[in-house]
Amino acid sequence: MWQAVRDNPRAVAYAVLMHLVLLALLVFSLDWTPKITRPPGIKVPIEAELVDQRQLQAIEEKKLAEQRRQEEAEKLRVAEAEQKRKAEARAKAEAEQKRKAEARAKTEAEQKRKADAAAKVKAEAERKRKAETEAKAKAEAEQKRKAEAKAKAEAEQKRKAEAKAKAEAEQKRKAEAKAKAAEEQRRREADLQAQLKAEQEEARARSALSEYIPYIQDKVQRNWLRPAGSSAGLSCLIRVRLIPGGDVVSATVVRSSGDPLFDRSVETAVLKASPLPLPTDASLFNHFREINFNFEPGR
Amino acid sequence: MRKFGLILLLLLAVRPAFSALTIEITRGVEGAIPIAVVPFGWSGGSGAAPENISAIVSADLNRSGRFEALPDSDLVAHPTEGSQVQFQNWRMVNVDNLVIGKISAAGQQYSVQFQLFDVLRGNQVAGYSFNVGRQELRRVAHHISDLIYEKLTGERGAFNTQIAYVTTSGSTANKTYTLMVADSDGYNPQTILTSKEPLMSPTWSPDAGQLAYVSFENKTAQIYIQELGTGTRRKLISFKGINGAPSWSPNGRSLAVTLSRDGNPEIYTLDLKSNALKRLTNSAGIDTEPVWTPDGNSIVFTSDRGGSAQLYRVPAGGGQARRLTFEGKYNAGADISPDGRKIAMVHGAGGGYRIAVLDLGSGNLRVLTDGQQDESPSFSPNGSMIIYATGSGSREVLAAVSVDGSFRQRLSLQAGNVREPVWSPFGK
Amino acid sequence: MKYNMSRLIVVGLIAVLAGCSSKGGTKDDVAVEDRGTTADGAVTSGAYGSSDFSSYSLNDPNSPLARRVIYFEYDSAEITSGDQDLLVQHAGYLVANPGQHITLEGNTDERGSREYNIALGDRRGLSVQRILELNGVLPEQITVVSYGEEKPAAEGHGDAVWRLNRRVEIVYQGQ
Repeated sequence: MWQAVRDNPRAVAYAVLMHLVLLALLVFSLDWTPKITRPPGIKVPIEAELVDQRQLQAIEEKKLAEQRRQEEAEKLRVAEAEQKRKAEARAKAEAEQKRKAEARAKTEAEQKRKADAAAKVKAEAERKRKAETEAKAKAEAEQKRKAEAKAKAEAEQKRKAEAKAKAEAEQKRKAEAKAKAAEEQRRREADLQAQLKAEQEEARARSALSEYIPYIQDKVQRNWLRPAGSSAGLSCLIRVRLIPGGDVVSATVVRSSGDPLFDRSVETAVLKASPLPLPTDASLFNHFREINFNFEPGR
Repeated sequence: MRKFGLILLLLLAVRPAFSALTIEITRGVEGAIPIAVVPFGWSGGSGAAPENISAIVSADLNRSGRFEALPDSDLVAHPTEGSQVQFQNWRMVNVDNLVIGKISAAGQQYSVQFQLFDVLRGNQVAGYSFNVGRQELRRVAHHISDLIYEKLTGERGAFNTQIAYVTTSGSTANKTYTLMVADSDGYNPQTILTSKEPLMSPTWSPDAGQLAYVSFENKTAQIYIQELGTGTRRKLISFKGINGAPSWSPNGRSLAVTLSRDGNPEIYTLDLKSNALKRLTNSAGIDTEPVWTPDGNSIVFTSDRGGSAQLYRVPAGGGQARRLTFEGKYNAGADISPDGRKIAMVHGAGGGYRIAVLDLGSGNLRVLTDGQQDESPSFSPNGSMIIYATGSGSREVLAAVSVDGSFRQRLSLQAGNVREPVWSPFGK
Repeated sequence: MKYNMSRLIVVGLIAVLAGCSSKGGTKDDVAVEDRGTTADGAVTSGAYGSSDFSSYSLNDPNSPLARRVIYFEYDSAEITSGDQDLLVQHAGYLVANPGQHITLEGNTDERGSREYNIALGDRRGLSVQRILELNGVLPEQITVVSYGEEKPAAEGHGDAVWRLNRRVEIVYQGQ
């Protein structure tokens, strides 16, 4: 189709134009439906001849038809004249509208010019005013700045004074802290000393323990009469309190084996083993004051 | 970060000075509980008391292997009531427990009281009194032993029980066989039956009121039942061939026996009411020595179906027999512990025949004795001891061994040869 | 092909098993051998070398019938060939005297448990019975009793004593 368009551009253009015209006619015609109006009194003179009824009828019909045709043509003519008139009226109206619009535009332009000029004047006045206020503001600002600078300077001085005071206070604090630290140091050293002492004591205790634990173990084991039967899986934890010299003053089962006979034999063992062998150095007693025995034969 | 580390270090450095000391005890000594049994006070006329109760108690406790009674010569004092006891004295002789008591007579009745003390803790553990006739004094003593045993071991005592056994006397050609019942300490032996022909295999009824046994009095092996109170007996089984090895069921309603009426020795059960016989084994070899498990559901027996004498177990209602023993070339003569967990047997390995115990749970076999011809093991009704027959020089005697093998003692009963001991159930 | 092979194996196994005698407890079956007898049952040894058993006297200490004890090895019921010869002698007499009854008393040494020994003695007695019956003795003439270890011939311990106790005694009734 486009090939046809390219080959015959003018023809296509005319065709399109025709369609557009027709379309325009269609759109712009106000009323295409013919109005039927009988113009009054128009009669077609009849030749007075005696004719056949049928002929008469035919002639009548013919006449009617002619009448009708003429009416139709008239109607058409009228419609066309009407249309023409309307179109002319329309054109006129359009021309009028155009004129009006142009006039309007002119006045508007004039108004605009006027407004612009006024605005210009206004703007100028505005500018002037602004400049004045600005200058005023500037001057005020300058004053403000000066005042602020002054205040700042004063504040600065104040700060300086405060800083000085702070520094002094700081120094005081430092001095105090130093003294405190020195005190701390002294105390720490004392603690350390105490700790060292404690550790020495610990070490002594440890060696005493390592020496005496086997003795204690042995004595308890020798005195533990195991219940007959299997003790596989049984274990009993008993807490024993001693007094200096090794005498057992209390023996309490802390974790039972579940077997009352086993527990009882454990209790009996530690009671029989009393007094437990303890180091002769009484200062080490505190390490042996309370002993837990875990009886767990495993077999 | 470093600060944190420092703080941590500081915290660690600050430990409590004295933490509780814990010492591990992994072994003790196995042995008898040391106990002192003081001779009972006697107030009932001149002369000694009709029975030496403390001596009976000491012997009982010693024989069990669980106690070691202080010899009379080592007693530090002789209190007869609580107020007289000074515990520290007893602590010095290293006894854990102390038994004291009193007997008094009032006409034909005797009043016996005893007290058991914990020497270490210094308190009374038990105290009872009894009122009995003279004939029951030994029984009361055994009852006291039972009470002491139970309080200190947690197990039921079996001192108030009996044993049945067979003795022989006379020359080879002129032997006398006697079936006897005595207290478990061998005292009060009573003759149940005497015969010129062999007597064998006694078995107790569960109420300890009857014995079944094998008698050759009619020149062949036959099974008899005898009521102990009245002495009435009746011949129960006398088929052609072997009638032997009776074993009373735990519910008292059946006997398991060995009969060879069908050609070779097999195991049967006999319903004592209906006399119905049920055969349980069917092998070409020897099946004998049936013994019931305590639950009454199975029977353990000796069979050589595998080529040598071994122990097997078969359901009491019949079924597949399963072998139980796999160690040693000879295992026979089984007895089952009252809890059903162990089997004692005659075990042949190496040179001799010894008593061994098989733990059914672990499969462990432990040899308990070291004689050459040890046989006829029988559990005490509390399962703690086994009585058996052994040789002493040329004589046959009875001995008792604790189930863990730790203590063994010969029982000196009487003259002659003693064999086939069977421990009675608790019974009534 | 595979199916046929396994079938063959199964059949083969069954054949092999059928060929084997049952295990355990049949030592006595294996032991029996019919040796030293001729078709007419005559024997060869002994001073009384004739087949006239009626002349045998049970009370004659020189008669072979005077030996009435068969001995056994430990835990065994096997009869030696010499003892089998002896049993043939006894069988001869019993056949000739069908009214004569004997009791075979089986015994063991003291080792082992008593009732098991009863069964072992019984097995030995049956072993002797079988040989006698094979040699014509009527079943009604024989009673087997086992005393196990209850009636030892010799008291004491040790091999020398035990050997004497592992025995079957032939007891002629009415003698």
